[in-house]
Amino acid sequence: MKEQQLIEILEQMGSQEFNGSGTNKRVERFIRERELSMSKKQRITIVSIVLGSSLVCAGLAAAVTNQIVSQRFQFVTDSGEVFEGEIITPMGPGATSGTFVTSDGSVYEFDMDTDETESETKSSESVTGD
Amino acid sequence: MEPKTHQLTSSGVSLVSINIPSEVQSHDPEAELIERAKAEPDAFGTLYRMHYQAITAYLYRRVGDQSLAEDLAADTFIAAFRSIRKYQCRGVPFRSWLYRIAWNKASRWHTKHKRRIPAPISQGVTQDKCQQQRNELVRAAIESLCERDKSIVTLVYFTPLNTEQVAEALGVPSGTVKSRLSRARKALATQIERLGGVS
Repeated sequence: MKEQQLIEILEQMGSQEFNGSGTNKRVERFIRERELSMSKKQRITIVSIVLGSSLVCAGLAAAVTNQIVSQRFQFVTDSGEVFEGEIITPMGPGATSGTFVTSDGSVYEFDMDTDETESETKSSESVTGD
Repeated sequence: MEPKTHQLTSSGVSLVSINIPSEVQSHDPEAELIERAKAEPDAFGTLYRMHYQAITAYLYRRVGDQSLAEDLAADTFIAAFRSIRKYQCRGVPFRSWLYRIAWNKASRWHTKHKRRIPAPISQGVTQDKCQQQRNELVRAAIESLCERDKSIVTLVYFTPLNTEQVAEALGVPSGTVKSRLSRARKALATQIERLGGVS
């Protein structure tokens, strides 16, 4: 087969127009569900965050929040639930509230329980038991 | 955050310092939309409407079936939504990034659903039918190429991306795109002959 003939066939295939509707119901439903989930954000209180291999109290984490935005963490709530997600709102150092999103797209607004900030060293403990 | 300082010089006459806050440095509407889409689904909705047709057309050329192309396009945009927070505006353009996701979706589909080798092009059929059979054969030949050759051929011929943009999407120099394309076309021609050739 001649190269020029192949190029012409590929160019012809590449110029085939797609005559679909221009919208996709599944994508639109997915986006609507996420919007709904955003508008019904749950508010939770975080008592600790897993940073690396350490479980750090929320008060200490609040002091370093500018370093933890856009990274994945595990968040432990006051009721003992553990969420894994990524903080998505810009937070300056010392900020005590924000928003995080889990891998399935659920969005949570959180407040950090900063009561234990004073005893930050004592409250830091190793998750791995080291 | 400290604003960046830009110094403007005019033929060595004077230096002027202008502080431009980083948040207003970019006036690329799409870049701003992408940043918003990281936290706002409706902004992602706008991006989806901007790119849906092009991505679905690419997938249609890859799989040759409209409803399958639409399904794969939905998978592509849902995957893009889930990972948009990791997307960095510098580097690979957003559209090339979407094509890469679509390319992966189509390749995975082909791997999972091994295509039948199409019947040889028969004599005496209408021109449309003949062209359809020929395209099916070329598509099967493309899918039998190695991943590297397949990505070059489909991104160059089945998308409106130019050589530079394909290079950005694949993270290689544009010279490499040209040399790989030439090699991929030879491999494709061989595969087409092996599958029965086209008239």
